[in-house]
Amino acid sequence: MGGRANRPPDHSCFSFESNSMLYFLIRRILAMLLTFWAVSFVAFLIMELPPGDFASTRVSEMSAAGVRVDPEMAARLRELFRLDEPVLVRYWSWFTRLVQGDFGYSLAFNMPVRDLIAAQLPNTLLVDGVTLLFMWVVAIPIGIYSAVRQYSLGDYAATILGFVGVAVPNFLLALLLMWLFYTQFGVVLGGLHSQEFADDRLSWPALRDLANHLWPPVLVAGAAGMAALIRVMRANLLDELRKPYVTTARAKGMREWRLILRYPVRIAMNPIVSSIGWVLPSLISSATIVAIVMNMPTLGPLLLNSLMVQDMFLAGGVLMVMAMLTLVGTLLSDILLYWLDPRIRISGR
Amino acid sequence: MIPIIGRLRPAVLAGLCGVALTAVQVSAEVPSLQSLVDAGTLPPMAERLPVDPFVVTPIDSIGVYGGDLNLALKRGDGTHLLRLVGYEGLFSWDLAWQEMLPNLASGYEVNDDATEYTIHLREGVRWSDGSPFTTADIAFAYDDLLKNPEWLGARPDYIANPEDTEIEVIDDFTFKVHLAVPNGLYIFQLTNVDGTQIAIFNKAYCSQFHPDYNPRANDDAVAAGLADWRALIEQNCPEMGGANRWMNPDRPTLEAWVVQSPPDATAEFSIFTRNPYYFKVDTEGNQLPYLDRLNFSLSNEREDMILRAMNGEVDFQDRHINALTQKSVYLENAAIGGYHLVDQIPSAMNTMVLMFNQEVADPVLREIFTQRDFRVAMSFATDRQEIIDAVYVGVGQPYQAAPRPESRFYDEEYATQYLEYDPDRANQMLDALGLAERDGDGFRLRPDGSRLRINVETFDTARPDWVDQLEVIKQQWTRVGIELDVRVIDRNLVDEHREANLHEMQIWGGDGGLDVIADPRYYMVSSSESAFGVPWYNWLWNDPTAAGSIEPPASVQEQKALYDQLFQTPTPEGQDELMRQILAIGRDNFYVMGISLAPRGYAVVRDNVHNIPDEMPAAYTYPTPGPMQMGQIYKSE
Repeated sequence: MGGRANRPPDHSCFSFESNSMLYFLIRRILAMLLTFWAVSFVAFLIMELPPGDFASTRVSEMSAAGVRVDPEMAARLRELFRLDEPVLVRYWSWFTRLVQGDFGYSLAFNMPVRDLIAAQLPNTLLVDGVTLLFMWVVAIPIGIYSAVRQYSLGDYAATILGFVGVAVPNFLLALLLMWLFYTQFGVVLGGLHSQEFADDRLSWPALRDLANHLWPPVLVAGAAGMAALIRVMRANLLDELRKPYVTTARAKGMREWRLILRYPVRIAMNPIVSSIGWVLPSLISSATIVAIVMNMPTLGPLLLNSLMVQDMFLAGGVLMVMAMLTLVGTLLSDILLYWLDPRIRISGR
Repeated sequence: MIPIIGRLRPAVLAGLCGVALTAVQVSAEVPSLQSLVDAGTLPPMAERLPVDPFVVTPIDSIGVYGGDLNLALKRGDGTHLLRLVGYEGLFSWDLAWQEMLPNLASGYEVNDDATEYTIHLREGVRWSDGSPFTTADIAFAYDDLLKNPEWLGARPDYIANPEDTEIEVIDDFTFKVHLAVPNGLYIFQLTNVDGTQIAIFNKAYCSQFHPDYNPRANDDAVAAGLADWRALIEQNCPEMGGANRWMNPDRPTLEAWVVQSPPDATAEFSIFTRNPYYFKVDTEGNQLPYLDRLNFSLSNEREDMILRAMNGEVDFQDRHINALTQKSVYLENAAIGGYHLVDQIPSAMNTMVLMFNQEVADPVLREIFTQRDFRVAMSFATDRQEIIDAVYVGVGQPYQAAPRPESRFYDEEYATQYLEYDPDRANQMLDALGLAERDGDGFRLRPDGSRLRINVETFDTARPDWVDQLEVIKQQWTRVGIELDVRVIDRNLVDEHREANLHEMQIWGGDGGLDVIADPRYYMVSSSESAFGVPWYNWLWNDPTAAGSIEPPASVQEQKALYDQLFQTPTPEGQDELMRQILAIGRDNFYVMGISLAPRGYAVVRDNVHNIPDEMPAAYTYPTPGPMQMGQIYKSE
């Protein structure tokens, strides 16, 4: 190992430093497993914190609806679902089944948690993936533009738009958009599919219908995240543009846009790449409110619903899927950074 | 034994049957079922109907067959489906919530002391799979489920104590119920929505999940990933309430429409299709329902349901879309959406009922709260018109916690006593109670020298307007030197504190404005929701020797004795007389105070949807809109 450190860095591929890469990966994966366990433990405990449990929530919901509930009903539910056992015992039985891939049964919906998540996960990944793409495709060029043309009219316009996007709460934007479309065009935005395509999701008309339903939540959920991205990209790039290597490249006669895209932009992308890992879960949670208001069949509303009725297994299942997405995302962003930035390779050793 | 048809109105019944017999002979087949009948997979209409079908008199006109009723459904809201589709019990309420009509039953008799009921089923009623509905189904529900201590569902009021009731099957269409404790309200309870609980279990289908009929039921449950048979039957043949009931398309039902694609947690749409064996016909003998399908669009929240309704995408609905604050917006958009609004009379009598806990743990506070004059003074200290103007844009009418004007139990004095805003009089009364001393901030001091401060606990998730009202009251009471501390906490905590008697004051909606006998919780101590005396409830209704029980004052005990007597009275007239006595005691003791008469609600009706009444009661026990007979709704183009 020691001898290799003196060699010039090689940017072309991983193979040259495969040992250190392997070591890096193993360390990362071990940390991931530990994090997964810690997340599961903390999540379970936090879900336990609110007063009452699934049985008491079910009973108070029923009495609120008007049903006469006999006093023993909560006790019967508690006994069947083993809600009266100590927290740690329940945590352990849940966790041991979880690591075997058994998410358990949703108390509220009487369905396997796995089926519920499987039904919503593709929609969630679709909506959030498109939102993410939309954010990047729009925000990164705008960020580059407003850094290169700092204090121009376009920069001010992008900045104002960005701040408005951050400042207006998502749900309000969603409601305003829905109201606007209802009053102006007589269209109610919401949902992800039209009923006539319930059994057919892949034909052209069905995909066109999907696109028609997809843009409002993407626009709304993208607006806030986009604003932050623009600011980050702009600030990073401004720092880079002032560095000597840019001046050197320019002095050597490199074409301006080619130069900017090739060197400073690549460095300025670092913070964005390193945050890939937490972009997905933060999208899922920030998009939850949009999904609720715009009636999206995604994981967000399912999670909120399960937390409200204290359906531990469903809520736990959704949270653990989100935790896994975060961990895998973090790993991916670590690998990407490792490849993108030589400094990380060296300090990673 | 005397035959009692109670409020079944014999003349009407005879008339209905006569019409039915002639009409069945002339009626044609349901168009959407014609092909099935032609193919021989479905018997013709006359063979599918009972000998003596339930004849529904259409509200406006005889309908035409076909079409979808479009509705909006909040995810997980089984109650909406129960009210809309699921209200098919042995008896059913009429539209006006006055008469009890035989529905799946054809009549009943009761003995003099209300301990033995003989109930006759309508002969020839069939489940949606074509199998006959008989007393075997009722006995299965009664003995194997509702009375079974293992069963997970909510045990209804008519089987509150399983050991006190026995069912005896006489023949396929007759059964007797023997009660150890007289219950003059047995048929009334069967007529309420919870009464459907005994008529939704098809024995042939549901018994396969029960270990007494299928020894492998527990193994089947484990194989399906469930704990035991209790969870298995809850999955396949769940009880009446809750969303689970509508998730199993294979389960035979007696309702007008059966679920085809379930409204489960991840569905965007749900379809219910016509039950070809539904047991009701119109006055010309056409089998109901007129509409082929119910088409639900599922939502997470009310906002987009309301928007859909305004856009004309909802044909007939009240639930979750009829907030009072939205009414003006609905009216503005009525022409664009092509709909109109019809009235609903809420069963609630008040926007909010305030309950001082008269058995509060703090002895000084208890001494104050138990003084009737204190409660009257606080009523005088409350400016109800200001609350109505501030919270309900002026819509309302100051009202105490008393039966509604539409109720036969309406008592003007009960409803209007101590309503006037009179802070001077309130101050005098409070001074006279020994609360004249005040601290530097102008608040009154209790006899023990500390500030008279009252904590009121509530939550803002179900009714945000409660918190708004309390904030106005807080300011009003400050003017007479009482500090109200409004605490918005989690709903479960509110419930827990009430059950454990840890609260000083709680508030709730004004239930029981029309359904006075069924839900008298604010007129007497009848429920653990009677938050002014939860330990009294425990003493009267549960175990007087248990830790949480305290012997109530004489007036409360007397009301309970009268209520017990009411239950033993088989005639409605006798029951009403006893209820009036109970109400008079409630009026004189002024246990709780109200704010404003709960205003009329509304439902949204598309202009091409017919046979919707101009007004109907809104309640859970009368499960709006069930009693209007959804089967007779039809649509024109």
